[in-house]
Amino acid sequence: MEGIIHRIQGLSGKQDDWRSLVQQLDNNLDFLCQSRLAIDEIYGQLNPESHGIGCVYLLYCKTKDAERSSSDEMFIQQVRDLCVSGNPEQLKFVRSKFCEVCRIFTEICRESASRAMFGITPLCVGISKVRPSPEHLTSIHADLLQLCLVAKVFKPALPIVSQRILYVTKDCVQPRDFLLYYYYGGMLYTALKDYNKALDMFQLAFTMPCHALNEILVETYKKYVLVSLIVHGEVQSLPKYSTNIVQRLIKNCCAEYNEIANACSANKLDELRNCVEKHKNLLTKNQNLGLAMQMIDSMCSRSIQRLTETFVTLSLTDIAQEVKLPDAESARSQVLRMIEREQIVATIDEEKGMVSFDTEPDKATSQQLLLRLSKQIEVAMELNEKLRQADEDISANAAYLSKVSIQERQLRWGDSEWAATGAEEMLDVGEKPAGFNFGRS
Amino acid sequence: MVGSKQAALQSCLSTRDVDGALKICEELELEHVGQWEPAQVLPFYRVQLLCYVVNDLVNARWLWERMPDAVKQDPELIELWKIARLLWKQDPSAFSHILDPKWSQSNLGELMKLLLERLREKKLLLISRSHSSISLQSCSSLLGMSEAEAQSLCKGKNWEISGNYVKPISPPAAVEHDLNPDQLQALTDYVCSLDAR
Repeated sequence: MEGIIHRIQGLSGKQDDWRSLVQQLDNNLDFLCQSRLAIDEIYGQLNPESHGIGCVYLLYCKTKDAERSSSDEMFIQQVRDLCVSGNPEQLKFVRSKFCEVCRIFTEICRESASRAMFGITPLCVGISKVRPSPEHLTSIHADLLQLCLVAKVFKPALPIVSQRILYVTKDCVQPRDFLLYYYYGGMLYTALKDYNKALDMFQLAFTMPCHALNEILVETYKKYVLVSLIVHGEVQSLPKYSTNIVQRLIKNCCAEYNEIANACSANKLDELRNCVEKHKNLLTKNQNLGLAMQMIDSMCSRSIQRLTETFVTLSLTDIAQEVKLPDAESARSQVLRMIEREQIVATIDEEKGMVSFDTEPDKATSQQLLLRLSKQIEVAMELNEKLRQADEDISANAAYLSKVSIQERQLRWGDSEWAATGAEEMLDVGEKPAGFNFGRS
Repeated sequence: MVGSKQAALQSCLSTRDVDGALKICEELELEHVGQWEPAQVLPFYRVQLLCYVVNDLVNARWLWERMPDAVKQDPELIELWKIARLLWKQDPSAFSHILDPKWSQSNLGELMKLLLERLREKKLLLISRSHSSISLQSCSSLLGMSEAEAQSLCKGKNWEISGNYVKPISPPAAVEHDLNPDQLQALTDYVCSLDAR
């Protein structure tokens, strides 16, 4: 044990020695896992700032303990120190082990809300230290969002979820982490009532290329249905690039939600209420009842929005009648609320009890529109460049090239059966980078 | 530790620095939750909740949900939460709670004043945007002031008052700027890069 500590202390200083340090620690992994109790005694001799690699390995061995409970508090404190003051380069060097430690840390922290809150800052710092670039997803992303949801603290995670993700960090992200990140991210935005962003998050989860449905996908889709009803009043059809199997099967998994969506698209408030009432138990079990209630609320404002499409002016009493509000006064406050949230453009004439809807687009905003447009073009060009690069990478990929050349040879020889299997395998290669699907022929 | 934080908080409060005060409270909550006595964290929770009420009602709600039960018993916090709920429902009776003279004796007085000013500013803008005519009565209830006060405020803004009704002037449209050279340059770049392929 002492020897290991000495080696960690001796080999941590220079970057060139790290590889051999990791090698030696890997060789001793079984021994370390067996002597877990001794770890706590010697851990104090290490200092995360200069011995990051050693700290990660020792903590990793502690996570292998089946009965951790006795030293939970200590473990939390140790991981916390490691995240906050650990040397970023060393942590990056043993990223996959560090991610495992964070996973266990999350599992312990999520047991109570106050512990979860305690874990948020360390994970935020940890993510910024080990991700290769801000556009990379790590498995800690999902862990952080999980803690935020348990603790009901959302602001600290915003800088991280608002970051556009373009790459996955291959050595530590499983498909499950990817799905969970977008599922939790959607939930986080839903909690903050930023429904448009929530919708994007959910959509990214179930458009991931996959060969089978799983439970995360189904739960994501359920929430997607409700949020989509709140934002658009209807369930938007799945994007064309979602996997076939998802398009075919996912609707069968949540029949009750389809029923609610149908009731909503019929624009009958009573029907919708009955429908939600009927499935109340299921919604409660899925923890979606609150969302369903908000969806019913949004129905009223949507009816008013529809009125603006047909009428130029309308009296307050007529509005109340059309959308089934008790009286003109409540119609007035509803319209006022919608103007405040910029859902409609209208002017109320209280003297005559009339509302006139303004359909002309606001002229003052053309400057803002231009700005928005140029920003969007910039984003699109950036993405285009990234896509081109990914395309180039694939066309230079040895595995891809060998498949293509085999296929071409087979085609020339006319062996159709071989060509068919070749083409199928080639599809696999094309699908490997998540989100990109452009097999070349 | 507690003392220095409290002093920093107090200086933010007296200068109406909402963001600064909020930052102190949020950091404290994440770092030390569950470690301090309820009586010690109470002043911070009060300020944090009020800061959220000023410009972020959604987070005010989450703060209330995650607060430890021991803290939730505090009458001032309960009162603040009531204000938050009324504001969320856009219930004008929120004003009577905000105007309660007891706030000016507590260290939240300045923040309360700020909340009141911001609310009235927002409502005035809303009235001018959404009404071509509005009764003095609704106007005064939206602004949380007496009809006489509302009338003089509207007069000060040069809004026409005829009988019981006020005719607000809608806010002037933002001045249209011409294209500046940078934007033209950017557009040229797009066209060039599109042309290149």
